[in-house]
Formats: sequence, C-alpha cells, structure tokens
Amino acid sequence: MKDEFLPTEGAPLVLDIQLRDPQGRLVQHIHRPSQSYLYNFMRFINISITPATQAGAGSYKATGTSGNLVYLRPGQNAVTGGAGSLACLVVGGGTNTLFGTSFRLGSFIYPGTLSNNLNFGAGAIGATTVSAGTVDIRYQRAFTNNSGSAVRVREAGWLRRQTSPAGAHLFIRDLVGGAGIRVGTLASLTVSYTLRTVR
Amino acid sequence: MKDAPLPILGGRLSIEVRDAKGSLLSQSSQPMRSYVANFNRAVISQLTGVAQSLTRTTGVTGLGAVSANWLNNLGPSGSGAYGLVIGTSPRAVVGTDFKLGTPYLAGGTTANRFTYAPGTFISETKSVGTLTYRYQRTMTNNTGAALTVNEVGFIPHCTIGGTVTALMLAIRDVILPTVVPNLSTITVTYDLFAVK
Repeated sequence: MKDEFLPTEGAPLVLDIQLRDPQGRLVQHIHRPSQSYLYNFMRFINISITPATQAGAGSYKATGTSGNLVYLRPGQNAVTGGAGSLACLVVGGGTNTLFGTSFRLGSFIYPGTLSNNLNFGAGAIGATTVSAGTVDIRYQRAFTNNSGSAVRVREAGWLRRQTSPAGAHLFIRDLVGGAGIRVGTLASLTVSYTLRTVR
Repeated sequence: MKDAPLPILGGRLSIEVRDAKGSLLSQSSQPMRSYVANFNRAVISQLTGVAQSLTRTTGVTGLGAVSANWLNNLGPSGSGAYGLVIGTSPRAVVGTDFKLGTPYLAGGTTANRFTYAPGTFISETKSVGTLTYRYQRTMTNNTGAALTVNEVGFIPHCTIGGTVTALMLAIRDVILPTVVPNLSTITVTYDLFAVK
C-alpha cells in the first residue's frame, strides 16, 4: 500500500488497526503514521551501536524504574510476542497525553478472558518487502474479545520485554483518538506496525 | 500553521574535509536516506527476539539471526572493514545493498587507501520530542595523491547466534563527489534521531 502521508526520508512507522465482527466482517479500519518513537527506542538504537559505553543509561522500564535496557538474543533473554504474552505489540485503554519520555501505556489491557481482557494471539513478522524507494517489514498481532463484555481500546504500543536482567521497556505508543475502538464480544482486533525505511 | 513533524527514526549525514593544518576545505550535510533491508530485519529481530535472516558483506545470506551487539562498533583504529566507512562508488543505493559499492580499505600509504581513526560516540542531545545521538569517524589520506569519496556507510560488526561474528551493511549513503587531497582528512558524522 502506498502511503502518501509518510515522510520521504528516514524510517517512519505505520500503524494499522482493523476491527472485525465475529463473522469476520471489517467494521473499522485505522491506517496512519505512528505518533511516536519514544526515547526508550532511540536509547535502544544507541546501546546497540555503543554497548560498552551506554549500557541502557536513561532508559525507563514500564514500572518507572530506570535503566537496564539490554540487547536481545533470539531464544535467549527475549520474551517474544507468543500467544497470551504481554510482550511486543500490546493494547491499552488509557488516554493520557503522549510524551517522548512516556515509559508505559496509560492503562494496559491484559491477556485473558476476565473482564476488560483480550485474548492475545501470537505476533507474526511478515516478509520484508523491498521496492524502488522503500523497505517494509511488518509485525502483526490479533486480539479477540472472549471476556463476555465489550472492551474499549484507546491506545497501542510496543513493549519490549527481556529476561536478564528482567525488564519491560515501552518503545512505541499511539493513541487511537476519539472514543477509541469498541471491541464487542467475540469480535477481533488486528493491529500491525510496519517499519518502513525510505530512500 | 506549520505542520508538526511526522514521527520518524531519521538521520543526517555531515561531511567535512580539512587539510593537514586543520583548515576547512569543504563541508556538506544531507538527510540520511539509506537504511537498507538489513537494518529493518535487525531492528525487528531485536524488538521481538525472533531470528531474522541477514546478508553479510560477503553476500552470504540466511546464516542466522542477529544477536548481541547487533549494531556494535563504530570501527576500531586501522580497520576500514566495518564501523563508519567510506568508498568510491557513486552507484545509487538500493534497499538490498549489503556492502559498499567500492570501499576504501585501510592501508597507511598504500595507494587508494585511507588511514582510519576509531569511530566514536560523540553526544546525546535531548529536546522536546526529539532525542539525537551523534557518531563520528575521521579518515586521513596519506597516499600521496588525492582520493575521491562518493559513498558512506555503516557496517556493524555483530554477533550471530551468540558466537559467530559477522559484518553486515545497515546504512549506505551516496554523497556528492568529495575530494580529499593528500595529507587531508575526511570526517563523517551521522546524527541519528527519533522524533515523536
């Protein structure tokens, strides 16, 4: 999909949210630039380039305590966005103002079937798409409402979770806007972030 | 009313050439336009902990996942193989680039080579909604003849699978032809920033 709203350089991020009813019909669709790379994300890039000197300084865990951001190893020290995991792509119900220094969602929606829970599907990475001027890679995750009552999603984000030292750091946060998205009983929400680099 | 800037992970590339006395000979600055596919895959691997296939500067692809130190190292003294590097090819960047077109190797007074100083982290600058990191490396021409630089890149020296080291191109930019006279230096500066 060509996105006319995106800048012509750098690496913008695209947020896509699709709400479908229990029969799979599309009810609501949001497709727009992400509102944020948070400071935590940039610090993650920096510690990756200069790990010996920067060691996560200035990063904040979702708990509000500082530091300890480290790089991951596949299969080691990483919590992937598997089914039911509060890691990687997450959603919430908060509406508080977004700042670059934000370190948590306003209000997490937790995985499960209790009131105000959503069932978190496994996240999946799409194929890398290289075109004349862009490279795209997309991460997508589905959330289904099995809680027995409607759940309202007002924000989405990326929570990167590591095991050693344990910590979860918010890298991305987006407010849906308006009244948010009402996910009715047995309806599903599919959220994706596409990292696009532009030449 | 001016629109608010769109959130991006952006970059700016600056080039300075100075003579042996430190006098400025030329200066340029341009948006960094060229994260290549390896960069996207490495980022998503680090965000998820899921292995992604990368292409080394040798052209070998699919050896495994990016791992610890995935963008590690701005380049040590005396090595032009990785870190912030320069080359002579003006060929346009494509997203699948996995190496510089024609890199300048490190080599003292050997023809067509530069003397590479270590790459360094310079600064962190914070402003409202923006966080910027600056990285820099200087190369000196000791060959006895002028050399022209047409491309700049960043080649991380990363670890794959926790043990195997590999070089993979993450960034490549083509610049206006920049002449570096004998005994002069070229300094490459990347400002990488996130905008909320």
